[in-house]
Amino acid sequence: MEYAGFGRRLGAALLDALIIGMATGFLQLLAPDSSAVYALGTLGSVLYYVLFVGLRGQTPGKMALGVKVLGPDGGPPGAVRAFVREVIGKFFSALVLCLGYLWMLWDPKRQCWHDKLAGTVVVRAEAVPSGQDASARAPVL
Amino acid sequence: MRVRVTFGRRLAAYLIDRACAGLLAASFAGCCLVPLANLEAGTAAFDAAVERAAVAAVGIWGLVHMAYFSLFTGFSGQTPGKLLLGLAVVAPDGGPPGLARALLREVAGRILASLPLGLGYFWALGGGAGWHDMLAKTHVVSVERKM
Repeated sequence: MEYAGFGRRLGAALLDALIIGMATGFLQLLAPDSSAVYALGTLGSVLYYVLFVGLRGQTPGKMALGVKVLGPDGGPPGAVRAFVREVIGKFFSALVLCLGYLWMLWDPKRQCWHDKLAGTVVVRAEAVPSGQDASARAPVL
Repeated sequence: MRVRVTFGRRLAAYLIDRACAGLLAASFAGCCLVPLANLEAGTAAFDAAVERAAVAAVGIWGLVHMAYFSLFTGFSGQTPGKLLLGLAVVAPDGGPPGLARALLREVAGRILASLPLGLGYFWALGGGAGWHDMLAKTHVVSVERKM
């Protein structure tokens, strides 16, 4: 198993931020200055990160860049652990000039602070099915 | 490594959870302030909007706390605080309590336990059950922390 590198993880994070940003921005175009839209955006962002990471180990951004979050037993981390990683952990990682995010650069298991707190590691996963895999799954006419 | 279930450990988990649920609740309740941005302070319309926002914020604050404690406890037996401290809530059959039992423990049970100045919580000082555990027939056990 190969730990995922910094560039790939940063790319996945930016892609997720773009998806969330576009979705919430679109909602705010529909109903400007509405409490409900702000609350919906906050709820949507929390559920996006906690459920995708918890149940699958991958957000859409991570799927595209081919990285995956694993819990201590090698499977998806589960919603509780994902909440600890995405909400509590990332809060602390960002607290000191994002030092917690940079920590993976010199950490032997490539863990950020939010990974250490939640007991997760981030590994390389196959990004998109290779040509061979895709053709094998194509219907035979 | 397994730990002993002590009152201090349970209290630490609870304080972590209250901090998390509080931050989460504040970020939702804060959304109630949005309509105030376009009103002029001091006007009657502003005062009425503040009153509505305050009522909504208190309601949202309570709902977020209930959802946080009941959903995590019901479906997995562990809130984030309990995960970090190596504790879990189990039903009489040893599994996760499920949503109904979790609502009984986290909402009805905690109201009951906190009413007489928190006496129902301090009931667990000797390492036994609190009133919310007794009401929902749940136990707090120690689990492998796997960090």
